[in-house]
Amino acid sequence: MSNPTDPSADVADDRLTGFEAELARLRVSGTSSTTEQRLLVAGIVLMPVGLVLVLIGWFGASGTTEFSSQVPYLISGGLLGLGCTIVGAVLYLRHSLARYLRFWLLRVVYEERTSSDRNVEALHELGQILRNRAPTDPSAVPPREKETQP
Amino acid sequence: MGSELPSPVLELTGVRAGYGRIQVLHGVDLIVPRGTIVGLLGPNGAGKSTTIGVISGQVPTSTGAVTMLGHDVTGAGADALARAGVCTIPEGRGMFPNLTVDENVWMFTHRGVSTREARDIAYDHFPVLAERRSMMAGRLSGGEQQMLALARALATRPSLLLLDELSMGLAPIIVEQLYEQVAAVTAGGVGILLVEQFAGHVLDVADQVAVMVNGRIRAAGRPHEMAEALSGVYLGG
Amino acid sequence: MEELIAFTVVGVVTGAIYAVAASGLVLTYTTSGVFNIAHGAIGMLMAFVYWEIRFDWEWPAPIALVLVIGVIAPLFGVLVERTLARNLGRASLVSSLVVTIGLMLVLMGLAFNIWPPAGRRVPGFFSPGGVDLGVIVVSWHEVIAVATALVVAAGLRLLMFNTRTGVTMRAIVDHRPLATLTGARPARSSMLSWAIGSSLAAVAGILLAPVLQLNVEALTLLVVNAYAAAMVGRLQSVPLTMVGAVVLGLIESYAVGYLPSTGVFANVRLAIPTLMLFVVLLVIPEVRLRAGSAVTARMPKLPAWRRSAISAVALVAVAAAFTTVAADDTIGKVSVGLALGLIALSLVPLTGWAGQVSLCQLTLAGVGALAAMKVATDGSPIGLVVAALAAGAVGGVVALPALRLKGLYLALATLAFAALMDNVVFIREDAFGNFGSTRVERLELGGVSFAGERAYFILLATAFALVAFGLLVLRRSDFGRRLSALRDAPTACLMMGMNTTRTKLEVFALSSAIAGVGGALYAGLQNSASAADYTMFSGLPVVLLAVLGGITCVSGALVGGLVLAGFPVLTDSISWLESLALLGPGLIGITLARRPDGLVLWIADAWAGRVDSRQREVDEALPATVEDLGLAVPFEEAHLEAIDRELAIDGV
Repeated sequence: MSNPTDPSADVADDRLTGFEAELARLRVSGTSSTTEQRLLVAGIVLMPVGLVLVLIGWFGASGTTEFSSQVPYLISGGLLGLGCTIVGAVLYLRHSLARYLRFWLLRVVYEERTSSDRNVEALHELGQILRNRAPTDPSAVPPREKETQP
Repeated sequence: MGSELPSPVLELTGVRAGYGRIQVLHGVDLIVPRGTIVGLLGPNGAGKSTTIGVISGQVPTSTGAVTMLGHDVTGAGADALARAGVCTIPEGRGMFPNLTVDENVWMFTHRGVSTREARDIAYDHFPVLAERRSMMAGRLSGGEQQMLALARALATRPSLLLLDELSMGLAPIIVEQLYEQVAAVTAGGVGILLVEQFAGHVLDVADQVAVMVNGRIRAAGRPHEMAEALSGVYLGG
Repeated sequence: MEELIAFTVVGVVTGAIYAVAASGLVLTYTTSGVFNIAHGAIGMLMAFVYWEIRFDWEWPAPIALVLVIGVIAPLFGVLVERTLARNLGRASLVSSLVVTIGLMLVLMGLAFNIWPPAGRRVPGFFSPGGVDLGVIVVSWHEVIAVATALVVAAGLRLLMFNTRTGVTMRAIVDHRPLATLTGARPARSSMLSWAIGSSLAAVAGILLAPVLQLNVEALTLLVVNAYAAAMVGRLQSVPLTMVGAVVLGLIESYAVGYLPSTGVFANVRLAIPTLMLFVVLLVIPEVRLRAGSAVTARMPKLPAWRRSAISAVALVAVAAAFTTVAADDTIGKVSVGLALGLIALSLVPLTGWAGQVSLCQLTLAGVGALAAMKVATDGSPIGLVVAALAAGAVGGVVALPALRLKGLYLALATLAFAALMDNVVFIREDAFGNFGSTRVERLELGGVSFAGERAYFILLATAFALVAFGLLVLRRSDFGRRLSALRDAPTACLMMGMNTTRTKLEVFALSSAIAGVGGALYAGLQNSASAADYTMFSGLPVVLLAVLGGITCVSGALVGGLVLAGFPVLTDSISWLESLALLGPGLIGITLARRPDGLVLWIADAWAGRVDSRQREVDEALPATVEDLGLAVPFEEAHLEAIDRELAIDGV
């Protein structure tokens, strides 16, 4: 095994520094909380936009009795607007639900933790009591497990 | 660098991973220090290739962390890691069979080296490849194919090199030549992880050897210390 | 001689256009692994967009061309790749087919809505000028078409062999994991291939528009020609694909020129691309397609004997109860759902259990309807028997290519068969009559007439229940196990000495017979049968909805049929939703990208509290999430407060 301070380390440092810089720039994909936030906002924005489009379509289409001139309103107001609203609502629901559940989970984890802390404490006290009764026995320490078994 | 204990090129801590619901790695800890060749040995199905997959970013981890030079890279994409300087030579064909040798070398340049440089380095180290540069890589001999794969490790100047079963199916003399080339790469603080099923040359080349069985590291240490552990593993101990 | 030259020129020109379209298809398929059924539809849509910009807004041609081919089409391709295709490369064949079919239907619906059919004309480029070759005059448009094909061929060659981008694309096709390990970005290559593919589709669409007029269906069908050409290149080689395209163009042109324009041959001319596709599929040596199973939807647990019997009886009982409360009108509409459900049911053993993808079930239903109509004009039950036999026999013939074709090739062969029947058989006067529609009497069984809406509704429900029950019985049998083996381990079947040929033939015949009966009943329900009821295009939503309902379970077919019939009901009651009727099935198909198991299984899982796939998602997200929210650091009072605020809990 070569020592990190051996003569070849000069070249090494050069290459590894580059590597380190690359690693620092690496975007590790854990949670995409920013993406999620953006989608939530997109959802909130899309819903009213869709409704406005539907309204525009409504007023536009009611302004004329001729079907052929209603078609564009139908498409932009009806279809696009409806689509926007639905997509918006789905996005919003999905992300607000996910957020809620996540916090809920955290809350549960917290409860679990405090309750297990209490249990550990109780066990500890129990141990104290038992230990006070009998003097410590050195052979009670478990033997270290050997790493390899032939 | 001022730090007293330089962080290792690669460190795995408590990595669990698998495919679907089948867990293959049950908490793997592994360190590849700077400028070191680490051999990872173990019987078929021990999880060696999965370990390579986890490090190279192809297999997601369920828990545990992969750190390189102290940076947490768990969950980074395989292509991003490759561009950063992790070179993985996978098991079997480490080249594109339906591309010419030249085009194969061209693919090295995704890691930021120039085409000219890539060709110079590859063909300098393995002159036989230069002779076959416009041949389909799939028609090369097994040894030449591994040379082409290794040429990538040389030309892309990686900081971490992962080699999976380099010697598989090759004549011992060719294996020896290839390992010579591998050893040359470490000069420069590069970390190398050699995965092999059979100890053979690994014990001669590696600075450290880890033995993996059933998704766990069973033993680790200097090559000569490992002989006993290895015989246990392979003789069903 | 003059004539020959003229036909040759026309053939080369159409061939050149097909070549452009087909090379785009091949490029997309090889690089991203998704066979884009909607390729022709993209070309169609872009041709319309070009018309809009060039002739409606009257922008100059060069600007319009650059805008459509250089900007809109590639962006559209990228959009499709990002939203739909990205995860399909590794999905099952059925999912990827259904999603692109959905996309095709959506695009067709969009085009119909935005540009309602009207005589739109697109003159050729520099029309009416041309080059005088002495013998004949070649129009500039034709010259441009051929030149474009040559440029595309040269450009693709240059791209694939002389740029790193192209070499990377080939590398990804060759060995995807390794390409990633060298640092190439497969997602980027896939996106680029969709952009180029979409552009090439646009070029083909625009070049073809003056020849075919702006017709949604005709332009969309361009894709069949492109498939045929692409098959010559075995979906791999662009040069061979181009050769195939030119050969196809020439055959088509000579057929127009030299085959008699009356009699049998009149229709054959229309069917040449599909015939060629069929022949090519049968003749070419099969290449190794991407690994991956045809169907990955989970097999549901087989319900117990008692439960299946009770469900069958319950279905009939519910149907009977329904007839007592619902109006005739409503019953009629729900009946359509039952009939379509029966046709969709034919896909369950074939695709769901045996893993053989068929896109021609409605065509087989049409065969059944035709047979019943010819034999039993008075509504005698013999009609149903004949329908089953005839459809079963035709299905057996369709199965012949299936004996050697797998996966995508089989799906395309069945699609070609559907188009072939459209063009050659159903269109004939002696098939569905003079105006393409014939009156069909409803069934009369042992003196009981099912002419009334209510009676017929109950009949349909009974038929569905019987067939579904029969299928469940079948699945328990040795035959059922053979089907599952065929789907899950076709190679193992062969090695164990199972007669896969017989099994395939049997399941095809069985499925076709069911479709035939369904078709006959459907015709009776409508009191008429017409070619338009059983076209290839109207058959695609049936497949789509069957997959939506759940291709592996019989109840999925019922749900699929009812949903499909539900669209017109919905759009009738809400008039401005009318335009959705065309889009609905397609939109649903697209959503299947995420739910391959189908609705029924999904609901059943939710009901039983099983949330396998979702659970896995949560498990995966967990460590990161917890770390994100500060669990790695100890809890503090402030954290707790914040959490409770989020949850709207007042102190516990």
